[in-house]
Amino acid sequence: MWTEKYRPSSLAMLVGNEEARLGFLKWLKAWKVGGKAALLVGPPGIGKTATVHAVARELSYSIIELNASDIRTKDKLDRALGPSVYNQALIGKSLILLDEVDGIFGRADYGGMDFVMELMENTSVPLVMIANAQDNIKIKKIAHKAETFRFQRIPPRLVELYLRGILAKEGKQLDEKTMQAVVAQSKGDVRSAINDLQAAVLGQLKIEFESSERDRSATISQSFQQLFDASNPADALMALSSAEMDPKGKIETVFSSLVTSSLDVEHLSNALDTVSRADQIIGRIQRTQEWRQLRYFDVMLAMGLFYAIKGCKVQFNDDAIPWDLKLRLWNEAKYFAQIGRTFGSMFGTSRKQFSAVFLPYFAMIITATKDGDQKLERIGIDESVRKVLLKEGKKILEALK
Amino acid sequence: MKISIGEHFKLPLMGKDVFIKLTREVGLKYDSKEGFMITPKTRLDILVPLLREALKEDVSFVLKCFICGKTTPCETCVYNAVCDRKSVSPACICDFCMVKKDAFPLYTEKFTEVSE
Repeated sequence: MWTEKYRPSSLAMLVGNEEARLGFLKWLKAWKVGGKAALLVGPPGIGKTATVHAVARELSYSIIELNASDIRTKDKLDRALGPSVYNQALIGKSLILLDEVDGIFGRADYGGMDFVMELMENTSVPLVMIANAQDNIKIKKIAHKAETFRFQRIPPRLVELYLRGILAKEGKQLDEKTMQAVVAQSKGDVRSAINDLQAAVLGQLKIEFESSERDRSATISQSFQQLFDASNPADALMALSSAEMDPKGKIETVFSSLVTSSLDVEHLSNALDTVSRADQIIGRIQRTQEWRQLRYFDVMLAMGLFYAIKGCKVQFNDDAIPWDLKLRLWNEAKYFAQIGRTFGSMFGTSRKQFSAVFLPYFAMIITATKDGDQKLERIGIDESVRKVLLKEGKKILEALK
Repeated sequence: MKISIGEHFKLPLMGKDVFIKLTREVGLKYDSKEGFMITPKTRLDILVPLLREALKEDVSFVLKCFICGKTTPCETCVYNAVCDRKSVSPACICDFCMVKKDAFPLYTEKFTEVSE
């Protein structure tokens, strides 16, 4: 991977954010025990972490790095950092790097914020925090007490300069239009620009400047339709990446489009298998907070889907419920609500719980029971409600057969 | 008028109403000594017509070349349509420096020079 191969070896090898980089260098050079902590904020892929590593290397600091998203609680943070924070002699010339510090302050903040605030005041080694979100209230609170370095997206011409430097080292060439398209598509994210550059040089990515601008303005439905109609894996990946939607949303949209299209069982099964694997990746990322894995998500989903539905027609649809089922739900919703209310109180449970958990079993039992209809009538259930309930029971019994 | 991104710029007195619009609606940062400055929150789409109307002259943006220090006009840049000027870091590269074969080494040399 060129992103690894060309990881900047020194601070001068980065591009953009010159003032912020110099400011951080100055801060670390001047840092003394009792000094302020540093906070680097800005969007991903613009060199915040690389800046910390490069400056640390230049000033001979070793880095104790923690991905803060993994350690949300005070106890875990304390356990992971405790000795290093209070004993400089023990760890030598080191700095503590809390990457993705916004991860500590999610909904599940079990004292992590307090710990960080305390750490900022008592640490005996430089404390550096990196965050993506600048508008988060808690990040603002930290920024107030720390030396803050704001990183911005890299101007396209500087991205191009950096990519040209890589091409020169690789001894490769790329035509002007493709280079401009790669730069334009990166939106100032150097990491993604390098990935696209590598793919373009290897012939795995074919993009044009004009089309990349058009794609940006394309609506989500167009992007997904392009994904389903793609004639090669690279186009599929381009289309999925251009859909400005979070990964969960992408999974839901692909799922609803698949289940509402008339695919044969084998193709549908293969496609849903890909969706399921993509969903597992998201689940794993959420569990482990390893958000870096997200970079593989689009590739995995686009490639898997391309081969799974090859030669089939899939129509974009962001509503997973088929029309006939939806119509039935609208028509019968009031009866189901009534059933839930009536039997919920009889069974000593809520209407919602009865409808979600007990209803299928109850409908099945009452349908299979001799004189079920009369029994329901005897306890005062309306004819229209009885009809819906018995119809539902019949369907379940048939499905079970 | 040419406005350099990332640097302060001064405007003639244009009255209280325009000043309030510039600082509140347009989102320009104001410092009584230094003047105005574009920030990521600035609405460039409102700023340009407002200044054009108030100053009765054309308004354009420029970025400073990090290598040679000259200002480089955004209008003629190939990335003009895709560059979100208010949210990118202020230094850029001019056409003259960009076409040099050793443009990237020159950039890194300049950075090293500044950092020392």
